[in-house]
This record gives sequence, C-alpha cells and structure tokens, in this order.
Amino acid sequence: MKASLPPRRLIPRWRRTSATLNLPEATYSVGKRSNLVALDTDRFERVLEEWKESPTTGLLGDLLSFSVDPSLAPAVIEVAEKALAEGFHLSPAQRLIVLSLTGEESERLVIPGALGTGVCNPAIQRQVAEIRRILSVNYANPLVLLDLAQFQVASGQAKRAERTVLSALSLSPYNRVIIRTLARLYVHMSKPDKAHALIKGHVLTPTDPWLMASEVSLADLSGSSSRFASKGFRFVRDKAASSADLTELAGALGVSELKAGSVGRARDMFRLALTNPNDNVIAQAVTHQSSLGFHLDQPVLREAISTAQEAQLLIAWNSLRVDVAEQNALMWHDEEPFSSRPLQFLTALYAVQKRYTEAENLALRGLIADPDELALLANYAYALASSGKLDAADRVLQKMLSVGHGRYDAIALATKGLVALKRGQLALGDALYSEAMGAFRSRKEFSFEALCQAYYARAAQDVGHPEAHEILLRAEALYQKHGTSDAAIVLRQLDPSLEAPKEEEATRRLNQWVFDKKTDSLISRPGVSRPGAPPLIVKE
Amino acid sequence: MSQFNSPADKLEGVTLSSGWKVLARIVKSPGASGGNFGICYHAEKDGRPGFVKALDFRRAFHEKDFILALNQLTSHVLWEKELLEFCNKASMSRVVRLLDYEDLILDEDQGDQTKKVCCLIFEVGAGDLRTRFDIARNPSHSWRLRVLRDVGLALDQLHRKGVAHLDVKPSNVIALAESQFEVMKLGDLGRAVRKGMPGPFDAMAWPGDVGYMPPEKWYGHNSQQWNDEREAADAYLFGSLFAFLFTGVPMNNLLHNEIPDAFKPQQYRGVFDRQLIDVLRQAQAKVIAIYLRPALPACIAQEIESMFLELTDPDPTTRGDRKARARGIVGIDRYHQKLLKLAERMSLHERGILA
Repeated sequence: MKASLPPRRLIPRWRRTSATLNLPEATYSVGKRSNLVALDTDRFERVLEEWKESPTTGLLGDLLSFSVDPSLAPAVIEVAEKALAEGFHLSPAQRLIVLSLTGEESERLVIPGALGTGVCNPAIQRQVAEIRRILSVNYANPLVLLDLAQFQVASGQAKRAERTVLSALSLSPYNRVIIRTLARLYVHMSKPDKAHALIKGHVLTPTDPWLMASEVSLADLSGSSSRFASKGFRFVRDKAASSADLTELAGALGVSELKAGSVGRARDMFRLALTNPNDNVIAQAVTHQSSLGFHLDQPVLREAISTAQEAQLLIAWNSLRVDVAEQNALMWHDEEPFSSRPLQFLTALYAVQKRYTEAENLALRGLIADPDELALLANYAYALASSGKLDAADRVLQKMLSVGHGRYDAIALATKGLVALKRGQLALGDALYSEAMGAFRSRKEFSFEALCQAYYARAAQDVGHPEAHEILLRAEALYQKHGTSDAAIVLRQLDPSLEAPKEEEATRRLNQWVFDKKTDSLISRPGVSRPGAPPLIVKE
Repeated sequence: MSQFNSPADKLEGVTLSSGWKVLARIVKSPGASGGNFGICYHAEKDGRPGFVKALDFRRAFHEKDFILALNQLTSHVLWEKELLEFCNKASMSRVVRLLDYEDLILDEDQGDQTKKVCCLIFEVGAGDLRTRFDIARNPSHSWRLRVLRDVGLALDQLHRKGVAHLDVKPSNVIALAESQFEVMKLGDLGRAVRKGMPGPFDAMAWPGDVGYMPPEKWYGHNSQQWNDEREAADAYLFGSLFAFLFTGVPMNNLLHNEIPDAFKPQQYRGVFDRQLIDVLRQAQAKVIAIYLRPALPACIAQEIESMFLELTDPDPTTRGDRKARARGIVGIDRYHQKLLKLAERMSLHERGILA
C-alpha cells in the first residue's frame, strides 16, 4: 500500500551506528588533513628475523602491530597465514585479528529469516544483548547508547529511548550524529516542533550542512519557516562543502521547492543533490521521480541505489518485482527496526499474497513501536478481515477512525466493505466500497480510487460475489486510466496477464556527454536536460 | 652506509678498559635504543652479562646532511647517557641501568682519533617480553600481572622525576634477575623527554615507535600540557601492554580493527575532535568486550577492565586514574600498587588457596 503511505520527508535517517559512521554525515569536518601511518620497515625486518629464529606469541603480536600500515599488511598476513598453516599456537585474539586481516571474518549478512515474521523481532533481543555487553564496559559511550535507544523505540519504549539519547547528547553535546538522531526520535514521537527547535537552536547548525539539511526538512514537517533555507542555498550554490556533504541539504531544499511548486528550481537542487547522493537522498529522488522526471538509470545513481534498501524497494515495487521488494524491505527493517515504513510495505505485500498471519504479526510488531500508526492499523485491519477475524478487524477499524482524525476514513470505509462482504452482507459491502471510492473521487485522488476498486474486485472474487467478474472489469478499466504499481500488484493476483502501469513520460538527464568530432574530445555537460534527451550528443 | 667499514663493527673479542669483554654481535639491542647508528653486542664482566651499544660518529659523515646527522647523533647519545645516569642516581629499580660508558680506539686504529668508538654498556637480561611471552608455555596470570606491575612501577619512577618514556612496548620490557627473583625493567630511554629540560625530541610530534603511538597521534593531535601530551601517552602505552599480555595483540591493532573504515587514520579527513573521540571510545569498548574480557580470569576481570579502560582512554585529557585526573594528574602511581595486590590474589587463586 505504497500509495497510501504518508509522504516521505528528507528527515535524518537513524541507521545503526556501525552503518552511519561510515557515511559522510558522520565524518564531515572542516579539517582536511591526511593521516598516513607509515611504520619503520627496518624494524619490521628485524622483528621478522627474530620471529623466524624463535617464534613466540609475543613476537607474533609484535609482528601483527605492523599490519596497521597498509604497505606492510600483506607481509604480515603472509607470516600470519604461515603460522596458522604450520599449527602455531595463536591466542584467540590473534586468530580473530588474522582472520580479519585475511578477510575471512564472516561478513554481517542480513538473512531475512533471522528477522522472523513473528510479533517479536528475534534480532532485537540478540543485538540488545550485544549492546549491553559493550555498555557494561563503560556506560558513558554515546554512540553505543544510540544503538540501544533504537531498539528501545522498536520495543515501544519511546520515553526510555528519549532518555537514552539525551544521555548520549549530554555526554557529547556537539556530536552531529547524536543531534540528528534525537531529532529523528522526536519525529517518531510526533514532536516535529521539538525536533526543529533542537536543530534550529544548535550552535553547530549555522556551519554544518548536515544539520542545515535537517533544519530545512524539519521546518517543513513542523509547519514553520526555515531559518537556514537561504543560507543553505548559498552553501549549495557556493559549493561550501564537498558534494557528498551537500547532498542532503540540496535534497531538502529541492523538496521545499517542489512543495512550493517551483519544479524547475527543485530539479536544479536535486541535480546537485544527486551528484554524490546518500541512501536518504536517493530514496527521496525515487519518491519524487515522476514529479522531477529524472532519468535515474545512470552509473553514479545506480551505485547509490545499490546501497540504499529503501530506494531499491521503491524501484522493485514500481516494477512489480515483489520478491526483490520483500528482500529490501526486510533489510531496511533490520537497519531501522523502529521505523514503520518498511513494515507498511511488508504487511501490504503479505496481505496481497494472502500471507495473513505474517501480515498480522508484522503489523503488530510495528504497532508496538508506534501504536497509532495509521497505515499499519489499516493493513492490520485488512489482514484480519481477509483471514476472517471480523470482530477483531472491526475493533482495529474503530481505533483507526478514533486516532485518524479523518485522514484514513475512506480506507476504513473500504475495509468495512470487505468485512461486510465477508459477513455475507453483499449489498452493504458494495455500498461501503462505493462510498469509499466516491470519497477518493471527490478528493481527486483517482489513483486511490483505482486501488480501492482493485481491492474490491479481489474481495468480490474471494467471497464469490455474483458480480465479481464485472467488478474486476471495472477495476481493470479504472487501472488503465489511473494505474499504480500498488493496484497492479493486487490485480495481478486475479489476472496475471495484466500489464504493468504505463511508463512515465520521457525522462530528463542530469547531465549529458558531448563528443566534439573536430577536437576529438568528450566532455560532460552538467545540467538538467530536456525530456527524452539522449545521453550522448555528437557535435559535428 | 652499509659499505662503510666502521670500527664499531669490529668489536667482537675486544676487552674494554672498564673490563667488559665484547662478545657476539646481536641483531637487536635488548633494552637500549638500537637507533640507526648503534651496533650492539653481548658482553661479559666477571661472569656478569651485559650489552654494549657501540657508536661511531664518523658514520654521520656518510649521511646526506652530515652536519644535521652528526648533531642528531651526538645530541641523542648525550641525552640518553645523561638521562640514564640520572636514573641510576635516582635509584630507579625498574629502569634498565647504564653500567659503564667509555670511548675506545681499536689497536689497529691507534693514532687516529677520528676512529674513536663510543660504548654504552647496559645491564642485560634473559630476553624481552616478546620472547618471554608464549602461550604455548602457558604463562600464569599472576606472572602477567607482575610484569605489568613492574612496568607501572618503572613509569611511576620516571614520571616522579619528570621523565616520560614514550617508547613503552614489549621489546623494551626486559627480564632481569634480581637476587633470586626475576623482575621486568623498562629499557631504551633513547626516546624519552624530560619536563622542564630541553631535549632533542621535544619538537617531535611522536618520538617513539609509530606502531605503538596513542590514537591522538594518529590524527595529528598535540597538546601543550605535559600531562596530556607526555604522561598520558605513557599511560596509553602501558595500557597497550595489558592488551598484549592478555590477548597477545597490541592495543593499536585491536583498536584499529574496531574503528569504522571512514574513521581509520588513513581515511578520516577531520581533526581530533569530540566526535572522533566518541567513535574511538566505541571502538575501545568493543576491544574490551570482544578481545580482552574473554581472556581474563573472572576473579580479576573487573579490576583489569577498569584499569585498561582508564589507561587506554582515547581522550588524552581524561586518560589515567579517574581520581587523579580530577586533580589534573595522570596518576600512574595508582596502578602498580593495585597490580601488585591483584598479582598476589591471583597467585593464591592459581595455587588453589583462594577459591
């Protein structure tokens, strides 16, 4: 139910610190010094001689110390591998270091099964135990506290998580990663004003493009004006930092422009944002692809997309590759276990695939972290109704209506229609679906109307509705006019021959290559091209 | 340089006027700075072993900038000699002693004063920590703790007299027999600095072995405060020995392995700031949880972890004993006392006297 998701914002992502710390947002600094570690090769040779003469644990340890120098590491690895092969008695730590040097240390793989599809996330228990083990060494460890807080939120302990992140911030008040994480947590706790105030008032924000980016996005989310949008524009225009450090700022400004209706300026900003994008920006660009009309199948962007689960999920979903979408949603869920968005995808997908127990469990898992999350409540109610738990579905719908303040009323009407059909109240069911579609139509949300009709067709077939075929034909007709990938995924369950939604209009390139025959040169021409422009222009 | 025929290369079999008989040449000087100019030999006097470091200043003439090389060589030797004499006078029981010092001219070179060789004679023991530490021989934990205690005591003795060693590493920890006991002494003061006394290494960002230097030096951080710049560096090197003795790997290796790639010194583009210290603290905690803790016996684990945590604190301004740090000092003296008590307790455990 991607179509029914809340709009995506370019707010800071809260990944596990092991992932965040390898990204530019963690390493941005005004300093540009290089720190080469070059060790004494003569001393290495002497130690090597001593080791060959009388190998001991101590001499091997001394030899291993040279591995921090990349130029000596291969020689150290050779010695260590030989020692292993010859059965030399290595200490457990030496063995671990040798395995790490030789790259044999098992990479951390996200195995979808490891996350489970039960209500409890088994990965959380395992990882919390690991975090507690590290914190038991020293609790005053701000970055480890962030990981702990992430799992606390996922377990529905948002208040406790807030205290944990505040502790981290008090230990390290100028750490950008912590500041952005706290802001993200406040957004999760539906306190965008607090998140905005935190970033807006921080002493680092006027000089830090990552914090400025967050300020611009959070201002938009909290409905207030941005203090740093103008300064951010100057930052981006003057290239005050590297393209990797400006990506989120340019992206945030692009989103603001898009919202204000300045598509041209939004395209310019996104073109800069996509010069060296992170996973957050690339996912935002995929979200706005139809508005921006960008051609995203370019080498730099392909590489960025390959490391961004959310972007891969969106692309897979749009191209109806549901198995790939599922894998990426699971990986995204592993990275951000507190976030409802990957679970919204998964529950919608499992419900469509009639994997109702999994859909119910994962919806409940997400509702632990965020009990009032409307998209999850909607998917939960749908899964319950589809599996025949009609009273339970009614209760969830009731809650949805009470916390939704009118936002999900039409979706609730449609699900009520499903409940009625399941109860054999066909006329009531037809009327409720009709009312829901009418509500979408009156709001000019035609793609929602088409999606609603698709679900209606599915429900009609499920209950053996006498007009099931006609309803399906109407759904397919509406899909032809206002088709979305969501509707296609539903309708393909009923009619596998259904074609994917029509391709978007011709896309624009973010830059083109110009080959000059006279000078025999190939140069890059940056700038957003006209729609459908070729990647290469040959100049006679 | 390698083709240069120096009298310092030909001392085997020579008896010095101080009575020391020079024996076989050795690859690496145990307990004294090898340096680029020193040639090292085993030696013996009245059945007592020693070790000679022979220096021929003429080698400097073969360097590209010979004035600079000669100046460095003479100032380094003079500095080390005076410092060792100072340590001898201060009766530092855990610092390798300078036994003699003399100049000599070989018989074949008599009459040519330019061929004078300068000899420093040190006490020598039964190898350094690297050769003494072998898990195949199942070293006891109480022995490891005594080694640490001795090194802590050596550093305390030096720090009390305003000396920072800056090159504490396994190869500079020497086993020596004292009466019927074996003790560990700290050797190679060739890179030391003295508080309030200008020396040849004062201007160097890091005079010691780069492979063992504390993390702030990886990122080019220097401090003007003696405690933070010098004593705290010694504290880190001391902490690194904890890692070495319990895991078999120096701290820098373990730490480097746990630092995220983007923050590794070769890749990190920023300065040594709070954010970097947070990352290093996270890596330090992982080192303890993953490598050190599993290697520690339960009865001493908490105390060792706590000391290790303080000594290898990535922030040089807070590194050292917590209470001492509150008063602005590193407080290396607090550790050897604790380590002695732990060694005694561990010894009782090992003998089955304590459960």
